[in-house]
Amino acid sequence: MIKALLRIVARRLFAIVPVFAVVTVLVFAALRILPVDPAQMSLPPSATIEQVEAKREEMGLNKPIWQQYALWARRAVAGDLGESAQYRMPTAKVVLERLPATIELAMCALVFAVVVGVAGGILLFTVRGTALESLGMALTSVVMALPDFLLALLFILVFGVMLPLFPVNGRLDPGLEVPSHTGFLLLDSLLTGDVSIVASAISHIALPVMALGLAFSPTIVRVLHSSLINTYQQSYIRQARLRGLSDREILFGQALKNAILPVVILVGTQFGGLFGGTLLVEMIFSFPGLGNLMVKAMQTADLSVIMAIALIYCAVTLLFNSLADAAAYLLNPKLRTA
Amino acid sequence: MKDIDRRLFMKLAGAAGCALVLRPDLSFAGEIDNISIAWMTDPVTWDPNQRLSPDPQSILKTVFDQPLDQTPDLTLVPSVVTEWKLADDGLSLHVKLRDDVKFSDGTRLTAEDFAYTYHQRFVKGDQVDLVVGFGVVSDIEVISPTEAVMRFSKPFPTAAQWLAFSASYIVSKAYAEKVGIQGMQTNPMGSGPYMLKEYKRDSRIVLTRRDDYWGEKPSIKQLTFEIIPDPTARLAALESGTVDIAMELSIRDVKRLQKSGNFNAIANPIARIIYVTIRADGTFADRNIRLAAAHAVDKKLLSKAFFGGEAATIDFPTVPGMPGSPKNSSFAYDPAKSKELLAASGYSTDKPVTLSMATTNGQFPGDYDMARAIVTMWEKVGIKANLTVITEAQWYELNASGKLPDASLFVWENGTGDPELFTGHMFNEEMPFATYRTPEVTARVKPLFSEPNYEKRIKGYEELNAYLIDEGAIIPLVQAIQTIGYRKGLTLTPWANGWIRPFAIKSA
Repeated sequence: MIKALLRIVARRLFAIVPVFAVVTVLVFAALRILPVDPAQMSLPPSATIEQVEAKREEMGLNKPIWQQYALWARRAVAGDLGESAQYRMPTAKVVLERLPATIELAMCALVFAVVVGVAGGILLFTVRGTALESLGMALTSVVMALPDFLLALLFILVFGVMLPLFPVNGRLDPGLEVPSHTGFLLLDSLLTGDVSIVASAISHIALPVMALGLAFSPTIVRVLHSSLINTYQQSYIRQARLRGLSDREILFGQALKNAILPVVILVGTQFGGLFGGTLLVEMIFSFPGLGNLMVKAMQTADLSVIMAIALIYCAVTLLFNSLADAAAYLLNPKLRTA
Repeated sequence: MKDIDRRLFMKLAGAAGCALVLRPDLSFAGEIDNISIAWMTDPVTWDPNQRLSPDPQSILKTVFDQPLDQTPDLTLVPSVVTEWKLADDGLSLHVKLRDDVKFSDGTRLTAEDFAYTYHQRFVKGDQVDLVVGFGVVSDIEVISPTEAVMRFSKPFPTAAQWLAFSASYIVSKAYAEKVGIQGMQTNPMGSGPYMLKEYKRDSRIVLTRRDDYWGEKPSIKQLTFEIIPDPTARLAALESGTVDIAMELSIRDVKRLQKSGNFNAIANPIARIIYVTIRADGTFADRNIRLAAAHAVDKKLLSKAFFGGEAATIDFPTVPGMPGSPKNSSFAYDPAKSKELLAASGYSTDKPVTLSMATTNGQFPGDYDMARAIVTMWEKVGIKANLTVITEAQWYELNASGKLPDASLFVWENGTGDPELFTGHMFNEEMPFATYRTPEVTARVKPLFSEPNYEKRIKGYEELNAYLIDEGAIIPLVQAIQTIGYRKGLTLTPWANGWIRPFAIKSA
């Protein structure tokens, strides 16, 4: 089975390559259509026409667009994503500096969303047919209607100002230093073994995680809730009851294993949306990650940075789709025999 | 007597103890241990010569010294440069430097560093925005460690003003050569009143005061900039006590803070204007249409709607009080006159003239909505404008390629205190900012760039401004305001260039 699983994962990952290549073409073309000259942007405002022309030549902008793309692709494969016009330093360095913060935020938000979503789904299912179920469903509708950035602003107001429980900006309290081993602040904080540093890191990431995660969890609640209802109509559940298994044993031992499958697929396919949500949430919480960088890059038309971040977002989405496929394969015996 | 003294002493000690419990960051003798400021953007680079953009300047100014300084109303005053003299022909500037200025690594700042900053960096090919102002420097002769002569390839009458402007900070030649431009971008080392202690990109900057600084010592021992791009989050940080000062809040929040009693808040008029820049060709080639468009805009209404009435309306491309503004002259809001002018060119509300207009959305607060309000005002007199949203970067690109729409809402900053960076740069066809290009304007503006006589130059700008408004070559709207909220117990003196100066922040 492991061999088959690895084969599935490898096949899915391999399938990402052409999709990713097509996306790079689309993003590259879209950015070239914009009325912005990357050569002009990378020079001071006083640059002469000759200097701009020389820069255009150096950047290959006078070549046909397909040649420009080929040049970009060749350099990108070698790790050279160009130079940031805004920072005047290699784009790869600018982007990689911020990538761990966004991954950390997105992963924590995912864990939060799954925990809240699965717990909420089970809870709603156990009170099915009561007024509490209707109330819960109404609540999920309300939360689903709120975009993550609005939740972020609400949390700042409630937990930052009215009940100042959490800090509303940054990643650590002033004066605290964490040596970077992994690049991920939470992990690095844990490695210091200093409780105050860990607490500071957790309290800083709490609100952005809640804002991002809570925007995603109602969908999980609803999917799991309806999946459990469907599962309970299956004959093996009736047989389990006849075998004398308790409600708890049926739910956690039999039903949940199958009912969770749509949730796994949902998480995999929708993770891209959650990752994309970091864009505004990071800006609102001054979280120094890719989202914050992307907003600034768009404001200043820093094309190489926009391109790099767009591709990272795309790669993450494709990767999670593939992982969801693999997980579904692992969880669903029907897929394995197909 | 002894009893009374002892009681008094106990009261004072008690009061001091309470003060320290309530505000542990307050020290004695007016010293403040730490002030946190919620700031909008990260400096992007610590190489102080690299960027002209206004936001990072307050931060860079804490670490680096400028050759000349400005008072809150932008009058030039000595700093590292104690004396300066522009030659009669405007082709050189003689400067004398202080001999007691040290960089934070302990080395002395000399005229060699001055020459390196304002000439050798350009020759070396460092890509720095400082070249925008000082690109005309052809040579700097170092006469002694405290004396130098800047020479220019063409007259540069505003050289002294540029020495106190954005990106104009003296860097250490030895340090720059040691660490290179990449090192300067990440590890700043200057001669300013503070040193960088902690830097988390896009998040936090902590600076500690240099006790060996040559100039006035700020009362704040540690200065923290919390980078918070969102204005709501900046306000929340102030109200939650995370920061002591929050910059660029909405005018509504400023008014609310003023009423709250717990915070101070000010709306500081700064040397920045919001205006509609227009092209001299296309639809606006017709003077009647230009003037009709200008007369149709109710600036007072814009100020009331977008700045709570706090922003001063302007009739010329400059701010009130700055040299170069014509005296006893104004431009009226007169929609009836707009209709007359349009009728003279064959247009009316039934047969409107059509033009294109561009605006940014988010470049400054309310820009898009302000552009929409102007479009509505124009529509009432017979001008139909098709509004498109662009970024500031696109604006430059479109202008360079001659594809800029007929009109665009724009913002312009001039912290030099001189009209050259307002009218001069906006209308000199050699600059990337000029949109209204005609031989008449060029003939009037270009000589002013090389006029060494200050009075004659200022008089020239007064006449040019009057001519431009008479021609309808620009539609000035309002003077921008900078909003600052800060906690009670602090006093803060704002600067007209919008910079925040640590030594101007004190405990009340």
